[in-house]
Amino acid sequence: MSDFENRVAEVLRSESAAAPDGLGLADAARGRARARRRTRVAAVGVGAVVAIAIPAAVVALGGGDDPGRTPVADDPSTTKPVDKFPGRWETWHNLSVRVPTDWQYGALTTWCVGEDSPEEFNVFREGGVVESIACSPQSSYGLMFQAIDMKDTDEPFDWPVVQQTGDAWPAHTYVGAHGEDGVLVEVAGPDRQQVLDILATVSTFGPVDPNGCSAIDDGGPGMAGAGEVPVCRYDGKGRLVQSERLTGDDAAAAVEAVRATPQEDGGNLCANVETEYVVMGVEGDRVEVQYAGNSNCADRGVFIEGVDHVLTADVLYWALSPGWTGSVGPGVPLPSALRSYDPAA
Amino acid sequence: METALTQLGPGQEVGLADQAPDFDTWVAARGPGLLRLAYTLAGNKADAEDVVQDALARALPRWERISRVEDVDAYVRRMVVNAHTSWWRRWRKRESPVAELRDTVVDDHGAEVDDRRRLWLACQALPEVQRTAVVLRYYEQLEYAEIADLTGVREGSVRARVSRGIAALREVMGEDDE
Repeated sequence: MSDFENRVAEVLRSESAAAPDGLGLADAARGRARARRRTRVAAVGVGAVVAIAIPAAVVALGGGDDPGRTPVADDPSTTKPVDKFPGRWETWHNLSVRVPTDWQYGALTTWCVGEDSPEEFNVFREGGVVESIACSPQSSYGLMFQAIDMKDTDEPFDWPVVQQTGDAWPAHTYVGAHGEDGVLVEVAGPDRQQVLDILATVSTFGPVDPNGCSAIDDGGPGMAGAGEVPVCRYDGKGRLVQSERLTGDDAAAAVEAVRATPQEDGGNLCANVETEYVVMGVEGDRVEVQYAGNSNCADRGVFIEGVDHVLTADVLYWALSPGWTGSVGPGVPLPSALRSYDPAA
Repeated sequence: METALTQLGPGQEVGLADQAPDFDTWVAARGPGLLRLAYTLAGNKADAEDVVQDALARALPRWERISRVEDVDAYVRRMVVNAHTSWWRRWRKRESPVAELRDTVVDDHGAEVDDRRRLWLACQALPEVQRTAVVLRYYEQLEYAEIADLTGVREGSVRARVSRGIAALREVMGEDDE
């Protein structure tokens, strides 16, 4: 550093001594946190949520006592991340994974209640809607994020990619998984190499995921390039549930929707609640979209850099990423149609 | 790299090295450092307290997770910088043209103190993005890449912000480039 830069550093350090001493800081923060808390309301579900019924996959090699097991695979590649195929990044908590562009969203059991075939590919997040079914095979192809019990000291692990047999999966399905930091990413598909390639992209990230969202809400707007809008959905604990990066016309439309929502008086915050919410980064501003709160409380709305604005259907349209299956508070202006994923876009 | 935030007195590290610290213990140890950082960013005590309390209030409900991230200090520092940026944007403070500060500071404590005071005020008068970059570079002693990660801009942009900030400060102080 130059002499002048050293002087700048020295002046900043010496002047910082005039900062408050921090006495009672934790209590003050605690009091402010209480004021920020939200009221939990009975959620209006958009679908029936039932217990997750993920088909069990054969995960261990060897043994030889199971005639239905065909151990044909080896360990997934340990080279991460790789980008061997056109795709998009999906994140849950602090793991990101790249999936092929044409993979849709939903439970791997969704094919059974619709007109789809079990050969469709879906991305599913724990906590999403799973229809109660009794089909065979139970599951289609795709990727699942699940929470698993891991100690802080536990090392990441891989389940080898193994061909599955039986009724749970379509014939000749390969399933493998990667576990790390309390998250299991399980991938199923008919192409063993594709399963390996996808698992090879699973990675932790920091400080933000490939879509510009932090794993735990850090109070910021996310990170994005010019003309882009990160859309980060967090659960009530502030953990990242889903992320997306809007670009082009979509980003412009999202910015327009946010800028069009009128300001409103704050009113009173309600008592404690922890509900999911979305943070969008709009031209550097943090736009917090709260849609689960009680309509009588001020904790529902669009908070642009903390300033309360009216929650509109247009903003919700962009805030709720494709595949969202959560719930909203009563009277929330859901758009007439939620965004769906268009692989061709 | 050791940063200003980590410069603590003897004993303040106790309990923070090998285990996830509880919120009160961590705030007791790191809070003063966060306040000093916020003070260099905001320029006054009230706003510094406001910014740090806001960041910690956001961190508290998530502390179980945050306390287990690889670098808790860096994470909460990022929250403080974000809180400062949000606070600044929220109130849309007008940026004071740095040149207006020239020769306006009068101090009774001699030329050296006067220069130091002018330099401090000039830092505070920098545009917000430049001031943040300068504070993180020269107060927190972060590398450009670390600042880029923390503020979410490209490293080249960080270098440009720091360079422009230093150039503006030189101009105020009447110093030539070295």
